[in-house]
Amino acid sequence: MNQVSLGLTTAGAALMMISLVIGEFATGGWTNYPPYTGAVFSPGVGPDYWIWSVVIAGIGSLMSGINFCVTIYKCRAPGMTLMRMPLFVWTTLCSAIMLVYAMPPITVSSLMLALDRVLGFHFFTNDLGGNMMNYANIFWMFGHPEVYILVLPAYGIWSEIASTFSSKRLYGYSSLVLATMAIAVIAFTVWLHHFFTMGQSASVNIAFGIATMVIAVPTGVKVYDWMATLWRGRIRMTVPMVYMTGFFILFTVGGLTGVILANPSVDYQVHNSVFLVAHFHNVLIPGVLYGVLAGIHYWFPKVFGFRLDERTGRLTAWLWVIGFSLTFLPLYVLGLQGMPRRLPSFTEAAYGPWVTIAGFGALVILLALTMLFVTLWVSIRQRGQLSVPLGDPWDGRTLEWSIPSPAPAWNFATIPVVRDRDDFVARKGAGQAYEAPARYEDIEMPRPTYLGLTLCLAMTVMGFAIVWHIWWLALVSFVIVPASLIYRAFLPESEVEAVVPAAVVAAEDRAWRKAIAEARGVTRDEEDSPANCGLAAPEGEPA
Amino acid sequence: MIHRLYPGLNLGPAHGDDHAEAEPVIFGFWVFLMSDLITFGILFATYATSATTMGRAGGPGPAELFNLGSVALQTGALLASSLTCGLAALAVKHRLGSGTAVGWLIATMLLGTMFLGLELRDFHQMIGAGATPDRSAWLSSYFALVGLHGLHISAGLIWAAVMIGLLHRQPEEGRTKQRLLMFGLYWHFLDLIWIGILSVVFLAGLA
Ligand code: HEM
Ligand SMILES: [Cu+2]
Repeated sequence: MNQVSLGLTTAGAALMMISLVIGEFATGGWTNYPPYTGAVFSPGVGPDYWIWSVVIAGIGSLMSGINFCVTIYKCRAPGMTLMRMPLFVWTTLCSAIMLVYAMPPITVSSLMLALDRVLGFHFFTNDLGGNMMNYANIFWMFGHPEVYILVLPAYGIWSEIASTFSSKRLYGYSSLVLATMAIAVIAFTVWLHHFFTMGQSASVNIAFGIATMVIAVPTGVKVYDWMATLWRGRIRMTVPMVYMTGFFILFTVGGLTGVILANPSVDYQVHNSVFLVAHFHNVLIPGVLYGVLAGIHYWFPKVFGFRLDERTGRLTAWLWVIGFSLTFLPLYVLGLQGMPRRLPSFTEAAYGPWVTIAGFGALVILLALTMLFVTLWVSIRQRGQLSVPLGDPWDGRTLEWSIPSPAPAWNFATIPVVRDRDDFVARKGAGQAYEAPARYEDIEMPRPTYLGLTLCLAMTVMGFAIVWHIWWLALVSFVIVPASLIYRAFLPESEVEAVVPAAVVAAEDRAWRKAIAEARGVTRDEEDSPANCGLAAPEGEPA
Repeated sequence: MIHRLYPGLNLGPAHGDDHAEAEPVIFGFWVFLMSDLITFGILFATYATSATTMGRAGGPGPAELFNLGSVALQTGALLASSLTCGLAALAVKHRLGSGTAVGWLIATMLLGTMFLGLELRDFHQMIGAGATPDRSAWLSSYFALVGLHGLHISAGLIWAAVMIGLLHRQPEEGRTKQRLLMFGLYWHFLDLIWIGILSVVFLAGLA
């Protein structure tokens, strides 16, 4: 199911890429608002590409959401109670629940638009009873929850990073969990703030404006919790921490401008000005993008077995912070000066200096992006020195650091019993971090399958065929989907699952434990040196 | 260990394993159904906003188009098919042999096909009377809502056929029983949606 979700997301992305070469992509803005995107005003294929990329990728996202919910609810290790889960798992859970409820609206509204365009239905047209406000409502019923679907996992990453790199237990764990849940719920009650100006009454606007402002409260709780986690911690300024510093300052500004926009009377002035553009880039880049980059640096050694180079990484992070600030902060000023969004050229002299600064900032961002690839390149070249096969390069706190890096296909050789929120720290403290299990068991694993790839290709072709009205091809590729699912249902169980014998697991696990017994642990000061091979010296928590 | 037993179909006499395996899958299917419910919910909302004089845009309305007799027959067929679908599950539960279960599934398919046939006949008559989906927003949302339910039923009919094949080929496997359990949930869920359509679209439309 994981593979199929990824396959469908890829199919949506592939369709978008194809549109760059054959035809045109979304000519109706990123929200694809009708009636402009209806068949009357946009006869071209731009909106169609948009619709089918979104629908196909959306089904993939929905399946991921279901998958994560079920895995987290039903497949936890013994002892892993909900309130012992790492915060990243909590935020992923809340995001996944939101996906389950937010994806259907966008799928439905897109398909309704497709019916309007292809079969002449009248959901959102100007004539015969159509109502475009239905589109705006349904779209943003997905659209606003979506921004929190993006940022919640990042919040989780920040939580893990804050506590690991200050070697302290996460401050205010329960309040962080509650804040996450509160955000997930309130995010569904604010969608109307995206169209305050579209003519509903002032009292409706006020209700949604207040709901919007309320969201800032749990978000504020989180920022304070993270700061308190760092307070008096044993902080190492690693790459993720540099990103986190940028995030703290910049994201807070972004959140505050959101609260400003939440006031309908202010929004009437700055809606669709570059003030809004500054707002959402301000939350998306320092909030989500920095979070993803920090998360990549943090978990990269777990996945690939070697760390990323710190020196180039830190430089990249600073370039991102500086580049972002130069590019987007001037847009707040420009927005207040009245510069509308999506402006191809202007004659207003007052805009000049700010636009120049922003343009220069864009170059810095380009440099940051380049340096990101340089970091990757340098690290791959030096992977020998950077390798951390023993699995725990950052004196980690949660159990993923208690297994080798890269993680074996079966992850844990024996399923651990969880006793503490920072279980690995508790084990290290008790000197039981690497106790060999008494016995090993066979592990059942799914066999590799072509299902994801098949569905990915079929859906890409289907999307393409529908966009260009090649109906027979659309039908053929669609039929492949149920056909391959049915084929799989009839496969005998032995062809779907494989068993890794206990002896294989045991041999690999014992070799790793032997290497640990012979290795020297590194102190936190040495984490950035070649001596770090993934075993942390016991240093305890800061007082 | 938490209780992992799934109430309903017993999935295997001696292996509790089958229950443990079924739990996440069945739960996941419930989550999917809840998400599907949102899909229908949005179409219901769209229907409600367009069931107005403006939404009908001077075109024909429920009074001229709906055939309550046919709708009553459809409702009867669908509810009866839910019963036969439940009987198929009971046949597996009480080990009455896969033949009995297959028999009830065939009955389910026949009733489902009857429902679909009647629905298509109504669609055909409406279209013949000029009430096409491109006539007005109300008709657009009518065909989208009722049509989507019909599509779900069609998918369910294919699924039932697959279930018959599976019961024939691997009747004793836990996976087959798991799938039967999910099929049952799906089919009863569609019943529930139909009751919504019956009340909101047909009965309210003629009230
Ligand atoms: C305290 C938290 C936040 C508040 C109060 C807030 C408020 C708002 C408001 C009122 C608007 C509509 C402005 C307009 O259209 O004139 C808006 C737009 C937007 N916000 Fe936020 N926001 C917050 C956080 C976020 C976060 C965390 C993200 C993303 C991760 C985000 C992404 C966006 C996007 C993408 C848009 C709309 C862009 C468009 O119209 O094309 N916001 N926000
Ligand atoms: Cu929003």
